Amino acid sequence: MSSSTDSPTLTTETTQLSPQPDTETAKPTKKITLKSSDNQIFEVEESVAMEFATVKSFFEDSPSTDTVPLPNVTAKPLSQVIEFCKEQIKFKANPDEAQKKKYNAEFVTEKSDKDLVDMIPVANYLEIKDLLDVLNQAVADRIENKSVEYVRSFFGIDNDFTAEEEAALRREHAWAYEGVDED
Amino acid sequence: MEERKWEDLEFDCLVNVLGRVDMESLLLYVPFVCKSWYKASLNPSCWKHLVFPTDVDPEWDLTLIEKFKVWYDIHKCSLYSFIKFVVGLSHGNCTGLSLPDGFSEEVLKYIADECPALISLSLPVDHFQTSESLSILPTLIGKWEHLENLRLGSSDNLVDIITQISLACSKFSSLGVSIATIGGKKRHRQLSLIFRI
Repeated sequence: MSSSTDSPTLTTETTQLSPQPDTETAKPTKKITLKSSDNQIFEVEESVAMEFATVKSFFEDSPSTDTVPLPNVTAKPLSQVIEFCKEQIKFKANPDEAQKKKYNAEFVTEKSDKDLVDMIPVANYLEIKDLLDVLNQAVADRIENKSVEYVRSFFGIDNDFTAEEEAALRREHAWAYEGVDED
Repeated sequence: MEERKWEDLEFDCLVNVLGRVDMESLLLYVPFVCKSWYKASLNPSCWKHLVFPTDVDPEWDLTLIEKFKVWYDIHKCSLYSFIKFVVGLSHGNCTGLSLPDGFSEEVLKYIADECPALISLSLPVDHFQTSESLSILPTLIGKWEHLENLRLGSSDNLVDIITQISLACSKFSSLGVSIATIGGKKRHRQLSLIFRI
């Protein structure tokens, strides 16, 4: 799974694209450094970093900084979020709704349950609305009609109900329901 | 290394996820996951899009309403009170509603009063036991001024319905009819009309 060598398919893909001048490389783009909570450094183009509303407002408040610490974000979900946003920038430059939909669908399909679950708090913290929509829908689809135990293990949640509290919850629901049923 | 936990995920974000979960999960499983999920499941935003399933779960051989009865140990459970209970959880915020087979005139009246924000309404295809209850539909359309999409199981009262839509629903855009009676014969085909009022 190492990406140390560049895949040769990447070059063929580029040649298939319409031969338009690459404006991205024409002017050197500013790079922004993001630092994850586990001290990994990510260098991303400014346009990608500006997709993160949290990072954007950080820069508006302190424009002279070039490293943004992200104390709530670990490296793995951050790298996946960056990957998503890089693609979205391309779709912004060349709008293609069908391709974008396809990419978004594939992006979540190929991710493990844990990857999705770990990315949601990151997308939420960085305020990336499009990604959050895609992720929230994907996890909602994956827990459809699944048992309580399944959902807990899917999200890695500990049950904090005692047996008594759980029984009380059921009764509460039944009472609320029977209140409706009176008339 | 401290990772953010799902239990502590911001309330709004959790509600956003739960608003996309199907009705069965939201009603039967989500409240029991943990305390913060229980609290989030009571938020009206989770209940904006209500799709009442009509089919029987093959694994359990039970409909949702039957499962609901078993799960919460409820003895008396009519379809009307079940729909009323679920719609009531939206506290008037319901924007999308798909009704199950066998609903009564009371159900439609209740929805007309309790769902003023409704944008999409879908009535079941198999409406044989409910066709009579649909005769009041034209008189209720006026309560849904935000209605944009309507999917009907039959073409009964279609002219009256369209008339009321044109009077009350300024943003209306599409009408679908699953079974249309054309020239006295029932045709099982989808008719879709795009509106420009």
